[in-house]
Amino acid sequence: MTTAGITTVSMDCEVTAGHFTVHTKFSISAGITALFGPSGSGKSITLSTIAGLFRPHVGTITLNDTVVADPDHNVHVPTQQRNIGMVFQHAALLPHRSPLDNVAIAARTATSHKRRDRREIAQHWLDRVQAGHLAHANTTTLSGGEQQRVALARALVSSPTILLLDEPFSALDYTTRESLRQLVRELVQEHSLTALLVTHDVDDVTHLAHRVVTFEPGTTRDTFDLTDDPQSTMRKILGLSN
Amino acid sequence: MNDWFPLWLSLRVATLATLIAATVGITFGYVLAKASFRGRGLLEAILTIPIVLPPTVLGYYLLTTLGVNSPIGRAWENIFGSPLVFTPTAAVIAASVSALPFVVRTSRAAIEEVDARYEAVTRVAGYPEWKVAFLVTLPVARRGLLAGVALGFARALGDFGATVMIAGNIPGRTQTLPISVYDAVQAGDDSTARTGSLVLAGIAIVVLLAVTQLSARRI
Repeated sequence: MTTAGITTVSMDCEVTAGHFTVHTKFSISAGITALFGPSGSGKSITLSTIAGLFRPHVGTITLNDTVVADPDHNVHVPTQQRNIGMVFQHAALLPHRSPLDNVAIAARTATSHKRRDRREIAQHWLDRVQAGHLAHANTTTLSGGEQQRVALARALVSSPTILLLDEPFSALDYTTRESLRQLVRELVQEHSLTALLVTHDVDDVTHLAHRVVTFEPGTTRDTFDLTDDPQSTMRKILGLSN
Repeated sequence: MNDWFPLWLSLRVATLATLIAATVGITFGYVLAKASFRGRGLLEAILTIPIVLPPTVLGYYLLTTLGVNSPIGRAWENIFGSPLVFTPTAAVIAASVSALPFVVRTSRAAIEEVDARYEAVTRVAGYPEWKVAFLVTLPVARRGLLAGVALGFARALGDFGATVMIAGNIPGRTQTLPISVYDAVQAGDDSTARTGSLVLAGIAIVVLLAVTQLSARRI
């Protein structure tokens, strides 16, 4: 299903957050790419750097043929203009707003519609992620799985082409995790998204990803294609990294 | 106590001062929490100084800055036709400056506590920084901000030293409740001193209870 070959995210850069420096080098196309490696290896920082929340101090980042970061040439496209969707481990829904508002707020800039239209689009997206009945619920009382559904709707309502998922399933129980994986799989296919999934769960990689970028502390290591035989490829990767 | 003017004046002065201190204080609290720039430490020190300076010294500096011989004082007199000092307006300024550090420090802490991911997802959704502040940061921090404003109100209501220096002690014009308590004690009017003290202590306790409530409950 991937539109193979057309590079949509390309990174070759170094970014420092606090006292920790991460060197990332990979090029990927549409479909789901897992960023896989031990905790503290720099996967989340890599994701935030793609989002523009961190700036690399050397190297470049290219999203859909546009260079969004190149410190040598003073290029830094602000987060606001990168047109990406993002989901965190704990959904990070605004606690003082309803689920519908959370999605509607994110609908604003991409659509420039009126408030009523935004709420309609938001409702449509909540229905799509099977959370339509939660539109007016109290945001703070949603279950982990419900929160992640709303967070997915919020990430996608502005029609991004790149979706960043920072351990979105790790706080969920097994059944919820399975159904959310299914949802992500469908959404990526429906909208031809390029999704980057940060995880240290082997099941996430084998069940969901089309390819995997492996991390060691502070650096990316390799990129593997998983379309043929994900199980044995993963065994190989785990063997290599042990 | 048969003259209620000091209480009403105090409440009016404290309310206006709280509005000013809240607007200025939350703005500075936000800047200190979010921006990194040269001289941030100095700015924070200057904004905190009213807490540690003796109130009379604070009042002395305000008098030097706003008095009839100062540039600001002269400009005020040119525009409004009468001096700024020894007016109720001067009392509002004194109370605002005294209250400001409490609002700045409390709101800075509350804003720093806001989960950065809330702001990140809103930036990702395309909102400029000022909108992120009004849509996310300030609403999420609202309990802490309210606690700071409540503390500021209590401080503004209780100010004595700075107020007496630049607004004076003019009964029926600039004599606030704390000053009237001092006056009553000097004059041996124990009943007025007792009532005034009771009212001020009561308000202080109510405000502190409110602050405890606000900071104990998390969203």
